[in-house]
Amino acid sequence: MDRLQISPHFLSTPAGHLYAVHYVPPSAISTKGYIVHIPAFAEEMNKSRHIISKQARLMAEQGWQVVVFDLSGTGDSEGLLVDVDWPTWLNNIQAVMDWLMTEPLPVVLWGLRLGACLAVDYLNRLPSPENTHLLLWQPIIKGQPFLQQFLRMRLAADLLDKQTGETVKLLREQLVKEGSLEVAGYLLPNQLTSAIDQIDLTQQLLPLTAQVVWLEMIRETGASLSLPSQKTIAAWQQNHNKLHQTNIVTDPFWSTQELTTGDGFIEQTLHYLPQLLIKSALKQSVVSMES
Amino acid sequence: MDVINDVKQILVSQLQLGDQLSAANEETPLLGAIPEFDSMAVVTVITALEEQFGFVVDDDEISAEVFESLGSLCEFVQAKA
Repeated sequence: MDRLQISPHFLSTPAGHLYAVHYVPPSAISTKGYIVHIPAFAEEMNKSRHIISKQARLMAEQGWQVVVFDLSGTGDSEGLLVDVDWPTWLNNIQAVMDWLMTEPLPVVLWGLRLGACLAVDYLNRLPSPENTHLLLWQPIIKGQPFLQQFLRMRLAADLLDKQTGETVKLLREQLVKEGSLEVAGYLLPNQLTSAIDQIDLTQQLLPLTAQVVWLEMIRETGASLSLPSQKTIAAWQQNHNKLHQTNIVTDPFWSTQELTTGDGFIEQTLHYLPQLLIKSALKQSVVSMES
Repeated sequence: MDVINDVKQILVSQLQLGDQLSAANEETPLLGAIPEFDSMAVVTVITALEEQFGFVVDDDEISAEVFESLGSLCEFVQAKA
């Protein structure tokens, strides 16, 4: 029986080797396009690994070539987190794209949480972004509160009994002054956290050709999205980006104490992916008729 | 705003408590009574509350008393939201 291939690679880049897993459709199915997964940050990446690999396999079965990789200084890629910065990670994505793309087919940047912000930034820097689309899972909208929440993890043990007098504000000062800070086993460099601090998707528009699948968790049927998400989506729609948005009633698999399945995200992704292909083809034919 | 229901849902979802809180009321004890509710869980619950209700919690507002019972946590949320 013809099966998909899953092969690990170490891609050579100026920032060191990147660990990447390549999912290739069964040989009977021709490749529809490429999908590059851009992972979440720190523990969120670890907690979502099982869902990402399950999703990647199912995408490959539908005819997509998928790469799931670890950013420099994280997971099994080379380098130390304390040495990386935001541009290094953008270059990582470029290196994966250069390695993966052998034919001019549509590309989907599939970002989870902080990875969604990297995907948006990378897309906005592409000289020719036509045919590149976004699949965003629970994007972080503003970096500042996200970092605030991350720093708070260091205080977790201390929050309730107030032994050391540490506060997030003091930790932030220490980060700037000393250039790095250890939180929950991660040595964070200031050059990276200051870039994260400045993230604000509500202020970032996309190339007009970009289509977006936006999947976000809600805790019960009928609940609405967070205000920052609504604002970003509205801005992109006003900018005439084609946007497919669905709320998924589930637990947050990237942050729960125990592993959660995230099947709602997987189902909705498989539902929307073919639409990215159909709509982009239609768009092109409309353009050619007008010209 | 049905605060107690929203708070219950966040606890159940973040801590995977299943139906453990289905009969919970304001007197139901949290910290020390639910094994999953450790200091890391306090952090993830605060984060989820911030995202759901759109407020920001300062370090010095967080105390064991806030997490003593479902009622004390709801009071805290109501005061913030």
